[in-house]
Parts: sequence; structure tokens; C-alpha cells
Amino acid sequence: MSDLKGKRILVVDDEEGLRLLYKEELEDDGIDVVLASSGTEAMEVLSEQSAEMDLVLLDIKMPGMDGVEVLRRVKEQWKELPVILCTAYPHYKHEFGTWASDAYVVKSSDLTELKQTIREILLG
Amino acid sequence: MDNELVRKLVELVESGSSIGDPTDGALLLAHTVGYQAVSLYCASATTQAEAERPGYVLKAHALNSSLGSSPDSPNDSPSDSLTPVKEVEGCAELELLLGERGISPLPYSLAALLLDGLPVEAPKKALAVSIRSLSSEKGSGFLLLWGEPAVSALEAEALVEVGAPVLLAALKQAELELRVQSLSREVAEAEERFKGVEKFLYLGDMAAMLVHEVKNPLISIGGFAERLKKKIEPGSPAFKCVELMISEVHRIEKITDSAFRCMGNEFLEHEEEDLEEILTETLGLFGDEFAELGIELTMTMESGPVTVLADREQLKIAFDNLIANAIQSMEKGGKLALCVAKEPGHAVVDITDSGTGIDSEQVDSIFIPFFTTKECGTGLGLPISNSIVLHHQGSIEVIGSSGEGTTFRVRLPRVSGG
Repeated sequence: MSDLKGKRILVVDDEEGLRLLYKEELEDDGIDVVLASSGTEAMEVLSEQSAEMDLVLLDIKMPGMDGVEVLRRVKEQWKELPVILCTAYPHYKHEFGTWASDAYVVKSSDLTELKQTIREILLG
Repeated sequence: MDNELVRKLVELVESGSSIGDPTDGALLLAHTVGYQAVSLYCASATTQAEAERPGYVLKAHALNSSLGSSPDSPNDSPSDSLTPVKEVEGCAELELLLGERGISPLPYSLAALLLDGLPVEAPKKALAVSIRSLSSEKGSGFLLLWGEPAVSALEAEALVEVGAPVLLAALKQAELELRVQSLSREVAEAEERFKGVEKFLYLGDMAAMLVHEVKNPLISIGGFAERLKKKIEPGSPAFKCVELMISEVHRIEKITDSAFRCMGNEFLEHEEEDLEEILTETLGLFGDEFAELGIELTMTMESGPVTVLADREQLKIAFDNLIANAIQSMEKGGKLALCVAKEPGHAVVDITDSGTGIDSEQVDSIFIPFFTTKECGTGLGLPISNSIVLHHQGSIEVIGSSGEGTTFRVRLPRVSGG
């Protein structure tokens, strides 16, 4: 998938295993992956690299600043930066705070849907 | 009060033949002018007595009599002396007294029983004057009068008449105490039930935690197993191991998703939906399975639309589980019948299979999460269906089950006019 080569994605998840999994899967497609283990860290990364970032892959349930708060701040400061919420919980999509996201994907060991969603958003 | 009567009562007491202590005569005199009775027996029903046989505990309240209060404090309020000084339980003869009206002679044996252990001698003669509270048809107690010679019935009546307002107030107090005890028991029982509900609510929170704490690592395992699979030669033993790992991860993912769905928290989006369309789509999910298993499928529908307010996808899950359960109960060549009908206010869907039926002892358990009789079952399919239907203000019941099949009836509120 060379059409995604050079794109940069910020992966935000407090689970180390998932961060590594997403990193390896996305790098297979030539995507440059930046990792953050918390909402606070994500905001620090974006404050420096927002211009180079093409997409944020964001977990919801995290200690400290959760994904919904990160989403709110990202859309407030960088309105055009796409955010995919990726969570183990299916029901958050009905909560108002998540509606600003560009996509909502329920986590699964089968990454097909997630990768397809990333592809659709990056290629617009 | 007749002065002659009072005098007679004073003589009785001062004769020492009944109560024994002359100072009590003063108390009795105070009593006889309408202050309080000698002893008041209040009846309270006991739980144990009710369980074994209807009965009462008779509690003797020493109302400013020699039984309980100090002679130096004749003006103690009735409430101070309402602490029972004696309890008598399970005495059928005494219970009979509660049904009596007016005045009854009290046999020596009963008087002895009532006064046993108290600082008075059992009199040779005593009278019981039945007392009825305003709120009860049955007797609430009786006034025990004794003396030697016995107080006449007429004198006892006069005594009661004067003391009645105070007696009733005392009875009311006793009744309130009983009511407080009863309410305390109800509160304690409600607290126990609430603890049960709290536990159930905790299950929802626990399910959410389960999803997060179990599912996330699971996704890592499954995801890396998929990556590993791409690097291993297909058909090799290692490849088969990895495939097994992946399928087991998928199985656990389904279980955690089902458990979470079953324990609530799933938000429902209700729209007006055609029930028959939902069923048709659900049947479509089974593809060629009916033909492959040789299952004869029939569907009977109403002539017009049957409209319910529903979350389409959730209802499809509910019916999917019910149909899958029906299929699993049938051997090759069975019959599955779906029948949709309208009732006033409701739509009814009967799902009937020709399977092995449900054991009558297990029917009550089939909607309990993780209950299953199948080797490969998770025990979550039917509870999830039940949970979804309940969230739609509907119901599921088993209306017939035998060795020749089972019918599940799903009832859902119908949109007016639909």
C-alpha cells in the first residue's frame, strides 16, 4: 500500500501491546507512526508536530486525560486533523462527546476494519 | 367514680390478700380514679407464631403498679412503664381471651402463668377484662385484675370505663412500637434486597472492566498471532498452532462482547421498524445453513406491516440467538416455524422448533447468563436475547416444550396503527 507511504499517524493508547501492534501493522504500509501512552503525552506531541500529523488514532479509556477530552482539545486547536476513536467499548459512540470524531472503530484482534478506516480517511 | 367503689377497692388492697404491699394500695387508688390499670397485657403477633400457628406474645406492661415502678414515683408517665416485664407466648387459652368481649374469669392456672416470676403471688381469683383497640377487630390485650375477694364484674367495668382512655393510649403506644419493629424488619429486608441489586449493578461495572482489562491484551495476542501467521509456512505445524491461537482469541472476544452486551450498558436507538423485515434479514444471516442442515423453514406473517419501536440491529441479534438456539436443538431434518401475529398493543413472534425440548427443571434457568447444557455453548445467547427484548419493553417466554420441540414467544410493544 504505497499510497499511504509517508503519512504520519499518532497512536494514543495506554496499552503497550496495542501501541506496538498498531505501530508494526501501520509501518508495514509505509506509515510513519508516533506513539503516545496517555492523553497528556498526546497533547505534548501534537503541540510540536501537529503540522506534520495526518491522523490521530485515539483510545478512549485511559488514566488521566481520557480520549474524549483529547478529542475535544484536538478539534478545538486543530480542527482539520482527523481523529479515529478506537475503543474496546461499543457504546461510547452514542455519547455526545465522541461525535466530533471522524470515525469510531471497536477494537478487535482482526485489524481489517481499522486499517480500512484509516485508509479511507488518509486518502480522503 | 363512685366513692363507695373506691372505698371498696382500697379495702381490698389494704387487706393485703392480693398484691401484698400496702403501698400499692395507693397506686391502685390512683389507678382506680382513672389513671392507669394494674397490669395491661398487650398482644403482639410473632413471626414464628404466625409461621407455625397463628398466635400472640402477650406482654405484661406494668403500668405504675407494684410490678414495675417505684412507689415514690406514682406520677411516672405511662410510657415509662411500657417496658414489658413479662412475656407469655403460645398459650392457646390466653389467646382465647383475646377474642372475648367484656370480662371473663381467669382460671388460677392462667393467673399463675401470667404472674409467674413477678413479685406477686398468684391470686385465687382473677378477672380478665378484654381490651380492644380502635384499629383492630381482634382483642389487643386484656386488663388483669385480681383481688381477694375478687373484684366484681360491675366494679371492674367501672374501673375500665374510667381508665379506658389511658389504656387505649397505652395500647396505641404498644401498637406503634410493634409497627416500628415491623418496619425495621422491612427496612432490613429491603437493605438485603438492595445489596442484591447493588451486586447486579456491580456486575455491569464489572463487565465493563472485564471488557477493558481482558479484551485489550487479547487484541494484542490475536493481532500479533496474525502477524506471526504471515511469516510461517502455510500447512506447517507452527502455522496450525498459530491458527488455533487466532481462533481461540476470536472465541474469547465474542464471549467478552456477549457478556458486556448481556449485562446492560448497551445504548439502544429506537426507530419505527417493520418486524417482519427484521426477521427476514435475520433469517438471511443464516444463508444456506437451513438447507445444509435439512431444516424445513416456514414463516407465517400478518398481511400488513407489523411496526415496533426498536433498535433494528439489537433486535436482529436477539432473534439471531433464538433461531440459532432452535437450530442447535434439532437434528438433521428438523422443522423451524416463525409466526408473526398482532395482539392488542403487541406484536407476537413465535419461534417453534422440532428439537429435543427443554427439561422442565431447566426452563427457569435458560435466561441465566452462562447457564448451558451444550458442550460448546457459552450460555449467553438466550440471556442476551432476553436482555435486548426486555430493553424494548417486551418479553420472552417458553410457552411449550416437550420432547418434540419448543416454542419461544417474543412479545414486543407495537406502534399504534402498525
